Amino acid sequence: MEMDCIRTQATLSAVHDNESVTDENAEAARAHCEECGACRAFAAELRALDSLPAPQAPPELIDRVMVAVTAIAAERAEEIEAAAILEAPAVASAVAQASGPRFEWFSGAGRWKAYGALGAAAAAVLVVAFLVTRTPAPETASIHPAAGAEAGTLDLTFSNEAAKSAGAAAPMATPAPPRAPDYLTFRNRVYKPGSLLSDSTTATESIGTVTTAFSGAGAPTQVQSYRSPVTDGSIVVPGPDGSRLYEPVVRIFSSLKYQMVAGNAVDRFGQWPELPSRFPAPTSPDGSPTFVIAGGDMLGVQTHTAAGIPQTQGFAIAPGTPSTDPAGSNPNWTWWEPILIP
Amino acid sequence: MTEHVRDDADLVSRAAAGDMGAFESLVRAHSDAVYAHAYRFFGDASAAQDATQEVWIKVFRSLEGFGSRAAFTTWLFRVTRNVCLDMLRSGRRAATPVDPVELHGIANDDTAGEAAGSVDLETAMRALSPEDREAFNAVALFGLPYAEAGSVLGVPAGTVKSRVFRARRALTTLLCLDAKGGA
Repeated sequence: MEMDCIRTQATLSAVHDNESVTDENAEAARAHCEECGACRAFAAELRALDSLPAPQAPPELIDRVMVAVTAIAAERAEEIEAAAILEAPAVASAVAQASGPRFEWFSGAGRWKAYGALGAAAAAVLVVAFLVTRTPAPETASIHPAAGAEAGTLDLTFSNEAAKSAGAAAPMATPAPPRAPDYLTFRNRVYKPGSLLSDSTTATESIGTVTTAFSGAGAPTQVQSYRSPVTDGSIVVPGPDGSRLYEPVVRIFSSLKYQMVAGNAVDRFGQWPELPSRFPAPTSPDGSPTFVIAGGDMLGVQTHTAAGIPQTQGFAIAPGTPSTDPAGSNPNWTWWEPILIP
Repeated sequence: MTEHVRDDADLVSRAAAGDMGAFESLVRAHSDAVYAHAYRFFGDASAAQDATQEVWIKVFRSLEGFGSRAAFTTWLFRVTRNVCLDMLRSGRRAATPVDPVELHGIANDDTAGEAAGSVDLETAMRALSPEDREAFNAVALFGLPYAEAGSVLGVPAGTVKSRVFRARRALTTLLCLDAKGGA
């Protein structure tokens, strides 16, 4: 190969990469190509080389990566939560010194054992949640936790759509939506039962009332609630079995906690929270016309925004999340706003 | 390319804010480049998968500190290259063995034709020197400009230009592209 050919082809290679070349080099290459068939052909050879397939990452590798980083994100969230809780003993201690009774649950090594177990469980749940939410449409999956826990594996049962596509002839009855957890609401924010406290709640400040029947039946009553000694947004509510910590139902978005906000009363256990009434019910699975798809939260669950409300101020989650999701198996759309510390 | 860079910057910004959907978009958009570079580095699919996962974990852990001070692909190539080198140094994986026969063919244009047409792209890649191969990957897989590739590889842009050109000439000859569709 002659020197002119090498220079010309080097110029063609650079041009192929969208690199700038001097006018002088470009003109020299053009003039050389008019006389040299091999160099004219080189440009086509570069295109042919580009068309050859490079190794591609296997699709399951992408899922593996996302499971790994989701677990890391879960660890981070736990660290943030643990850092917040670390402040709690000081609060609890101050309360105890001021009024005597102590919340034994918050003291001693047992607390850390509990957090360790909860942390491990949370990480597992988040990974499981990610795997389940990754199940491709139109298949929907449900988890049978007990079976999975015993076998150490996930038991994924696919819905009617998958059965139909597999040729199943018999129609299947639509299963009744699962019962909601024992939620209650305080100032429209949704809480779930936490630990039973061993001491009187009179040590903390009253913050208002909640209305609940403490069961799935019976008449709801107004119950005084108290400020929690833990600054994680939880509240203390005395119930039939003693004073209990009620924890906010939260999900993580942009490294911040967002709490579920209910539009309905949720004054009995087992009721699913609904969208606040200011949002008309979406008429399509993508949330339109009320919401538009915005992105995803820490678990990779799709978030939806409402017109005029920045996502940092609130977002909606579509129904159909697995039971392991913070929204649970809620058959309704849910609305989430930045957590407030009562 | 500019649109790509803008998209990446937006996704990086959202991912750094905790948007896992945005991070997954980055993973989906760039995993092929990461995997292909690692595959060509190790010559082994299993090692390439391990490296790809490690790259994305490092990227995820460092997103907040990234701050868009460089193009995302430049940073991603740097992380990918470092992960592969670290895996090699730690003895966890061995690098791609180079075929001396093919090297001979590349080194001497007169004999290159003997090997031409009998190899596929990845086999031909193994005949390149590691320096030429990684320069080629930086440009062809990650889409880096010569100057950006040079900043990662620690060489001037002109050296990247020479290495990429040398790699292309070797590959087109070995793969017999001039006969297949070059004319």
